Amino acid sequence: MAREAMRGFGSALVRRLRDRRGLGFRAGALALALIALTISGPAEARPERIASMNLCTDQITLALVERERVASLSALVAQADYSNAADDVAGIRLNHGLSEEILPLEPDFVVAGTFSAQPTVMLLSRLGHPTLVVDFARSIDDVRTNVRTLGGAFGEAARAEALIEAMDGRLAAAAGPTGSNRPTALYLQPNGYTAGGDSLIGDVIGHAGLTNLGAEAGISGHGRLSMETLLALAPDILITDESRDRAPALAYEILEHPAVTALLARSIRVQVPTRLWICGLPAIAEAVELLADARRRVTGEAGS
Amino acid sequence: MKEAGLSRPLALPMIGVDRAWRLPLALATLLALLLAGSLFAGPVAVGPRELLGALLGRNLSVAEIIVWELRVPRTLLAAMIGASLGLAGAVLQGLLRNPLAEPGLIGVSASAALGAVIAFYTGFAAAFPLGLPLGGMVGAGLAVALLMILAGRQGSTLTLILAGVAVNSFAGALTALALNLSPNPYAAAEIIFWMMGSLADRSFQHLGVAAALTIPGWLLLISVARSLDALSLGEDAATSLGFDLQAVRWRAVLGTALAVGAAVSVSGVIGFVGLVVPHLLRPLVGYQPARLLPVSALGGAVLLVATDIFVRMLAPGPELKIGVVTALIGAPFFLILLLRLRATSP
Repeated sequence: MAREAMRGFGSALVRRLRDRRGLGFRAGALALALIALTISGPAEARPERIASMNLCTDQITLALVERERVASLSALVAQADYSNAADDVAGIRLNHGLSEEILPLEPDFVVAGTFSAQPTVMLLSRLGHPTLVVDFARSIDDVRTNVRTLGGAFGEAARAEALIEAMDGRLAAAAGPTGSNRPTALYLQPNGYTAGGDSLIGDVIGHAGLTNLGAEAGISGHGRLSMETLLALAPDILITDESRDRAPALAYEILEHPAVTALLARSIRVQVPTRLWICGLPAIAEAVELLADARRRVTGEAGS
Repeated sequence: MKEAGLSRPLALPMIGVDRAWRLPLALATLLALLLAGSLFAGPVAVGPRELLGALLGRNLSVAEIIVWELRVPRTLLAAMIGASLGLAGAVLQGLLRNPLAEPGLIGVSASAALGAVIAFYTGFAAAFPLGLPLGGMVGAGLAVALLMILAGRQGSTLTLILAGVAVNSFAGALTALALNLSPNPYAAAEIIFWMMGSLADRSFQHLGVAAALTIPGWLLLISVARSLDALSLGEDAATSLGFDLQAVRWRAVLGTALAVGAAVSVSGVIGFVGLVVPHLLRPLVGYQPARLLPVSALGGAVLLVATDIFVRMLAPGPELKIGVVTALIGAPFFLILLLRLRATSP
């Protein structure tokens, strides 16, 4: 009796799975049609149920489309330490990169970052959801590229251009005098990590009219500096972020070491909130402005 | 034989006294050289003239900050912690009459790390300067007391090692758990500091809080020296010679807890120093526990300062944890010791 019931249940399950697959195939065909439309038709595709799985694409998506078109964002976007949009996402469904969170929403467009949960992205793509993987930004140029790419994918190219133009205006206002004699700056994270060349933060420091000592120290991307090297570099401006709510960790001890305190007596310390440049967003302009203010304090230029 | 062993330190002829001082003097000289050499080791090159200027000067040059705020405290901390580990190893081996007793091997250091981790990540250490070493001391003290109960009196080498393995893994697991429960994203990655030990970027503050507990710990450990000599004849003999073994045990437990607890709370677990050093030096002091203690302290300091210089010279890239190097030296040594023990006792 029980076995019979089990078998019945089992076959029902198989049937349901089969139905699901059928649905998937149909969705896939629909998605193909949509992509074809994007490529061929002059009318832009306008996804109406966008799911984003990465903090950076979350924020660009929010800036480009109306909330009604956002089906889901990644959970990090609600954390004020990392996100500029933490206050704007109430009511939006948050995901943790799991397929089971995204699939029931039946998104008609999925955006993910290079580091997003790969299995989920592949599964969604295989099930026929149009998927776009956006590389993380290593420079302000990459920010422009990413905003344009997403603007195109969402059918919001004009809005994307407006965002870029606003950012470029702020960057131009913050840019320092060209030529040599730039003040030096170093970004110092807990644990002694810093940003070198070929990094977004390094590019931001350059755009603010400063020389990035992380790059001078031979670091490409992000890397760790010994405290002795840090002291020997003796930057004019030391960039940190202590705004975050901190539970105790050894990682912070480098920021409180007496040697760093002694160094600080001779440097200007600037706080740049991590959320401003953890992602390549138009908000990066605010980080450039903060650093440009610090530059003016060092060089004595007239402030704006 | 018994009589000779006991009376020798008292009835030593003059020439013998000189010889007795030879080893400590040699170790002290070596330590002084290493301490000086340690000030030169680091990723930023500081020449002898610059170093001297930095040591004497007060002009707040970069070299001066590097030397005074980084290298001097680090060097002194390495010497102090090495001495604590060497001394505690020698005392534990004498007390338990067991050649494999060592703070790291029998779980005392791991328990100290647990205590320090709890004190640090709950914010207790930040609220109260001595909170960190006190946390380490409580952890170490509980472990030594537990081991004395499990394997203290007539326990075999095997019992001690097995009890130590249990305490070690239990404390390690709880440390990992405590760090995983910490809300800070960095905390979980810091397990490696507590398990493998490091002296990188330590400051005078660390040296100060550790010294406040370490020095009373040393005094307690040194105070049991003569009782260890008597204990080498057996418990009954020691009691009949008038030593209060209960008091001796408690002084050793408290001394180990203070010295090892303070060491681990600022440097993490640095293993094998307390095993290797007493073993290398024991034949040189005529197998006398009392004479072994001071030279083990000196030898521990020599070994750890030298290892710390080595770690800093392995540039570039992230610094290797010092406990990795002491384990690389110590683990093969431990195996050789085990094989020898098996050969002598069937």
